[in-house]
Amino acid sequence: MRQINEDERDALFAAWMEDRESAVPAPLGEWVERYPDCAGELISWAADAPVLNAAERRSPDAEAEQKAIASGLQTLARFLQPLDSLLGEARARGRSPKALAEEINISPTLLARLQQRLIAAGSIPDTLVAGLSSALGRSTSVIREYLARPAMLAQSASYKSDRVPQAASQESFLHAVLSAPDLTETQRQYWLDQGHAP
Amino acid sequence: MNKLGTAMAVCAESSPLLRPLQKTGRYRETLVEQQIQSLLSCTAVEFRRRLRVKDRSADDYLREETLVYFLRERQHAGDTHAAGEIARLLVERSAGFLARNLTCWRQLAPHQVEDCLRDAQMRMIQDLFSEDAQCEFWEVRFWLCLKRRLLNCVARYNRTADNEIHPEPPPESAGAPGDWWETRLSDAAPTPHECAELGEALSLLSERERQVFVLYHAERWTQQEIAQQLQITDRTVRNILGRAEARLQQWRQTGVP
Repeated sequence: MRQINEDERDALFAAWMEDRESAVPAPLGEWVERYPDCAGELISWAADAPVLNAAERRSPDAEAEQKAIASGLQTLARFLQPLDSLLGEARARGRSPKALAEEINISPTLLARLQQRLIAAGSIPDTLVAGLSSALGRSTSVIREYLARPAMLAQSASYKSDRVPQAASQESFLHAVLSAPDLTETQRQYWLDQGHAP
Repeated sequence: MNKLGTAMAVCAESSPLLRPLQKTGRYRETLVEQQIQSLLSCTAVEFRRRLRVKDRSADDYLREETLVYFLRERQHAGDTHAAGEIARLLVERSAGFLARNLTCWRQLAPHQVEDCLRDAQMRMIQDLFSEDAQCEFWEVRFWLCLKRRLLNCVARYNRTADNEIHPEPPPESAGAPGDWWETRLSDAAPTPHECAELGEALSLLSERERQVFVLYHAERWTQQEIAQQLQITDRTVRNILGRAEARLQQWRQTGVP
């Protein structure tokens, strides 16, 4: 059976709420029968409805609203703040580089190359940018802006040279996927399929 | 047309000037389309003036769905500053709703309410800035999307709170119909006081207790039907029901959960 996605769940919730407010709402059993994949959610919505109805009739609490505004604006400011480091941001959210790589379905090596911006930003698929945005709690434009900056040197590297060290040249995402040694074959195939349409 | 179809087909036809919704057969509300249309051809000064209108009943008050459209338009055009300004407005407008809907969950500790609020706001902000088709419904029904995100967050924190509850043994009368509750749960037009009382009482229960209680007393499912749907045994249903009734009874008699 096809999995229902978030967007369809939103539409279902809207339909459910609309029906519940109608003169003769359909019994919960009918909804569950029609949308068995969402049975758990439908039951939760039915159980939570009396609590929410009571909440909506409450008089506004100015102090709680001000606190909520402050909290929301703080979250928004952080969401839009420029990013200094993908891995640093992940650590600040309690995730190791390995955990972040797993969450966005790439390998640690590929993540390290993204961190150092060794992959041409224009070739990185939107799905990967969206995954990073979701995992790091930053907007896609902030992530794109980070990835579009010039390549950087590895922070842990040390150099002995008469010349100023230069970062390696950037490669395309597809090339990076093909050459990453620690990507699983499933991951490689997934990103090869995604990679052609950034 | 089925119920799902009714909710999606909000407006008959979309204007060719607007960015169409990605989901086939889904349309924005007529008022939202009209607002977008008028803003697409207005000056920046007029746009800003309309953003500042705070009176919800005013004709030029912009609907939240309209704001989401322009937030995404600005974001897509690379104008992060303008997108941020619109997001700021949506954060301010939604704060009262979130605060009101969170304080009613009495099972949550104050720190959980704060965490839950932050999570719901983060989720909203991420969705508003997302270009993913899965976040499209925010342009169709803003408040319902927000409500669902909030319910998801509350459910997550409620489960954490549930783990901290040490249930008492259920009384033998588990599952016996309780007149007081059934009258209120089945009342199509309860008074504001009854509504508040019922909501407050149910918010004291754990997620599972509330589900079983509402399914039995409001939806009139049998204990066997509940057991089958929730994939638990009949005996567990009886136990949960008994515990929920005992807690509510105690609350009615003493005011203490």
